[in-house]
Amino acid sequence: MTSPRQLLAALVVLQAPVWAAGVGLALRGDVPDPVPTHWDLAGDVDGTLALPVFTVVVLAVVGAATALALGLVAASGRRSALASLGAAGATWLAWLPAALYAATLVASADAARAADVRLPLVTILLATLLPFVAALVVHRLLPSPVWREQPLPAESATLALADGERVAWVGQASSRALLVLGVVLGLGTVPLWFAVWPAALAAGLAAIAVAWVHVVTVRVDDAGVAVSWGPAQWPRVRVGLADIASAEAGDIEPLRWGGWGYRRTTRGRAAVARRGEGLVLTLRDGQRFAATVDRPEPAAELVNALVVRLSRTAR
Amino acid sequence: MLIRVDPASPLGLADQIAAQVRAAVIDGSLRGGDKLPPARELAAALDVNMHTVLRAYAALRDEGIVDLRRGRGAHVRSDLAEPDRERVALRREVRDLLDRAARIGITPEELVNEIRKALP
Repeated sequence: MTSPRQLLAALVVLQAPVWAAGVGLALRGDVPDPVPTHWDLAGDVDGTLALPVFTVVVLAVVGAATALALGLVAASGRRSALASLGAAGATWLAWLPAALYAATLVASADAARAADVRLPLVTILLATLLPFVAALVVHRLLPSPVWREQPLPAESATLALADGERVAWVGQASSRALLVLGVVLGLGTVPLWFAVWPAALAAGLAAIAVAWVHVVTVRVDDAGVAVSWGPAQWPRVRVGLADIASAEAGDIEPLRWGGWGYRRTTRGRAAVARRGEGLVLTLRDGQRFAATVDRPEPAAELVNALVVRLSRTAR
Repeated sequence: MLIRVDPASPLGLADQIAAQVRAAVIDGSLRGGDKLPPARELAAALDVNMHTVLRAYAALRDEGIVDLRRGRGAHVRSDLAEPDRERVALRREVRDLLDRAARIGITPEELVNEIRKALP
């Protein structure tokens, strides 16, 4: 069964080969042959390919990725999280060479020799960003993973809540290793600044980001669970109480959840500052949400008690 | 840490928050050096004013239980030794005693006299 949203997603995927082929056909007479295919850091051309070879290679990769993406878009009708994610990945894989190919040809149009061609920064940014946007659109269009109704926790014996009682749990996890890594990265940007300043800028931003996410704050209240980063508790991710089926304290192994920081994998989402104990939520749609936090047992108990209270008062 | 407040209680919200932190320090669930929840987070979660939480933390600082430092938040004092913990527990009992006396119309001065009378 193919839904209109799947057709739209397929249409987004198909833009890649259509535009790559279209730009290739339209500009084949206006570009130098061989065409530039690689630039060094200073912006000078240091690699070229004959136009037909370049075109065939790009179209082969784009074609294969497009076929894969279309197959996964069709498979996502069976509502598997892996198919939606795979379709988004394949879309990116199809769009990236197509965008780079089109960008190269557009930049080369009307140049006499490959060596004269410059690739403007805007073009590089656009060609890098567009594939991500396309992948995101495809992921959003495809159905979300199967909704498996999760059982609610039994009335908790240890923590009973009155209907109007206000109760909250706030905890944090922090990682000295991440903080040190951020500081080291930050110090590394200083010499880099005098050599290649764009790289220094990127490294500086990465350093700030790494140092910032070394603290994770988890808050449980009657609105649900909110996870936030850094000393200013920003940015913040919320999980509504109505979306939570149950909670437990668990051991969080960063590599099994996709790494440190804020991660999204087929296993679910995770806010990870360190290895070790944390709060693991099972959501009503079967997905999971994990956050590292010190001494999470009372938090899990409170989430379960709040979920029970919500189902009691909603009745 | 887990904090519950009851808006209907005659005890003020700040006093309720301070009492629970104090209890956690006494029973050992909060240890020296432990960080208290950021006031803004706790206030938002309990739906109370941030200054209410800060008032509770300031009261705990005045009792010598926590350290309040700008930019670092509130920490349970790491030099809090066992006798201090006992003293905190004793103060809480005194406070309970005052509350109980007030409920049956005994003024603090009369309570002090009662205690003197009880001395051997």
